[in-house]
Amino acid sequence: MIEDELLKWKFKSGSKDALRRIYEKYRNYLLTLAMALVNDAGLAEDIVHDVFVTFAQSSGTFKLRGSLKSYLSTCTLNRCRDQIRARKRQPLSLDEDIPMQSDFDPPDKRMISEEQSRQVAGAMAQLPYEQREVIALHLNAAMKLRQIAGLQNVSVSTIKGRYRYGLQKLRSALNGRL
Amino acid sequence: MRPADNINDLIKKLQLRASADLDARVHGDISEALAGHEKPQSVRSEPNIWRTIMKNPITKLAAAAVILIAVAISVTILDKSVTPAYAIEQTIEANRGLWFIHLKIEPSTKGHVDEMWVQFDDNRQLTHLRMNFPDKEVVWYEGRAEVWFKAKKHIAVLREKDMLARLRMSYESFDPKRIVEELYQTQGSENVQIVIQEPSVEGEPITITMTKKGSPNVRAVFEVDPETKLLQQEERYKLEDGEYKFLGRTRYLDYNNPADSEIFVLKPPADLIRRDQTTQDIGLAQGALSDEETAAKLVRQFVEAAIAQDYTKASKLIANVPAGWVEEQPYQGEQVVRLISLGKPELNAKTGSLSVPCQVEVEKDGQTSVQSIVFRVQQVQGRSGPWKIIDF
Repeated sequence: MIEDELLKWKFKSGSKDALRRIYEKYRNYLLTLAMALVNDAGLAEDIVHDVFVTFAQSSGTFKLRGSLKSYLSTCTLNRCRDQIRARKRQPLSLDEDIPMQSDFDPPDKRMISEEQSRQVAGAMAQLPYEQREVIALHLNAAMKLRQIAGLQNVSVSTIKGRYRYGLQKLRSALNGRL
Repeated sequence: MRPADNINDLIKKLQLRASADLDARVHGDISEALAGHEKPQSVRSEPNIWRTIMKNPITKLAAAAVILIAVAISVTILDKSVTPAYAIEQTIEANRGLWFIHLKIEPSTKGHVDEMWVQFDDNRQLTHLRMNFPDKEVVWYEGRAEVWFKAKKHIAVLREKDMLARLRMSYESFDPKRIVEELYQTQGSENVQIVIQEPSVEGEPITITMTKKGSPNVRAVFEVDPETKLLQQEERYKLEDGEYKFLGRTRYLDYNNPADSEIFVLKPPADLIRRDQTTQDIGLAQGALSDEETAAKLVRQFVEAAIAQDYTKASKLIANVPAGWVEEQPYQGEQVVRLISLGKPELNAKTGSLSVPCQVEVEKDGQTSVQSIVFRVQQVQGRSGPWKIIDF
């Protein structure tokens, strides 16, 4: 996208406005991705915060030829993986409350069931991390399976398997509740 | 087809919004991070190529001719008065300078805010907020909130961070900056169609129609001031029986123009009861209990007090109400006689409140029935204070 190329160029020159604009443009998207992976709103916010602070610190040496969105997604993904490894968490129960909000508020006219979102997010948290990552990257971050295979360092067929089995588990978990 | 068969769509629909706290943290820290990388101005001046060229009289003349031609071309271009087409980015840019917003929500609905005024500092941190509801007015500033319950003729004075979090959540649903940025980000989404219509008559607004297909099928129509590029209005519709049904409207009445310098000061009648929660002993102390255990105990105590008709005690367990408030409520002759069950308290991570479902047996005119009630409870004044019921 032309805007992203311009923002990259301005950011490299040290423009605070460009960095703010990049943050405002991608913060919700990265937050949703982080949340899908770590299932902890506070941790997801910390991760997004850290991604942008590290990004800001790189302005003097920043060199990126590819997509800004993909770059930030990868940074977020790496931090999520670090957190998962560090915490060695057990899968959360379906009762964990997830502050997912309708993307078409206001609250007096709820369009999308918060309860449904909560249960979907809770079911995602039950999946093995590798399956959850594939589903979140493919559906929330719109990455191609081939890209995800590169990130997970496995074959495309392995990724397809993780995606298929992950969705099957989600369907089974949710059909009793929705 | 069962609902979860459409699992891909359900996952794609999960959307999280950055909180104002996260925004403030990131903006503050990235400014610091960038400041550490500012490139210092070079003290040694670079060779001035322009000065070298202009020493030659021939190049001086050539340079002057180029400048004259450039001026002539730009005058010709400007003369054609080409107005650039509207783009949503223009409103995003215009929103950057906002520090005061006044908005109105229609139709007015019981229990929901219908008019708001907000003020920010230079870092876009909320400093003042006022919300008018049909039955109460709320003002928040400098870490304290005042709630004027008009029907009960009583003002509660609160001093807790959680109140700000809830007020901020309510505001963010109508924040024009957030709304326009989200609109911008949905451009290009496969389920979303955005149509921008420039006005045909001078003075009319620019119209942006966003239609989101899928479940639910909704539409929003935005009006933008063609001069300021600021949002004037948002109307919301939902597709029902083949037609888009009007749901509501938000009108943005003033930007950066607080007409009343005391808009953030409540002006109730002088004879109101003032209940200052910062000094009064209310709610239930947590002690060694967990949050869930405390929440369940609080609700049990309230219901038992209602059964015993000890309305003074029951009122003390509820936030922001005077003694005897429970007794004054128009329960239409119904009396709680038995607590049947208490469900497991569930945490709302965003607000810190817990929802406690319960079933009670109610008697009216000699007949009994079972009613389900969900109590919402929360700690007063941060994480060290007692717990109270904030809603049911």
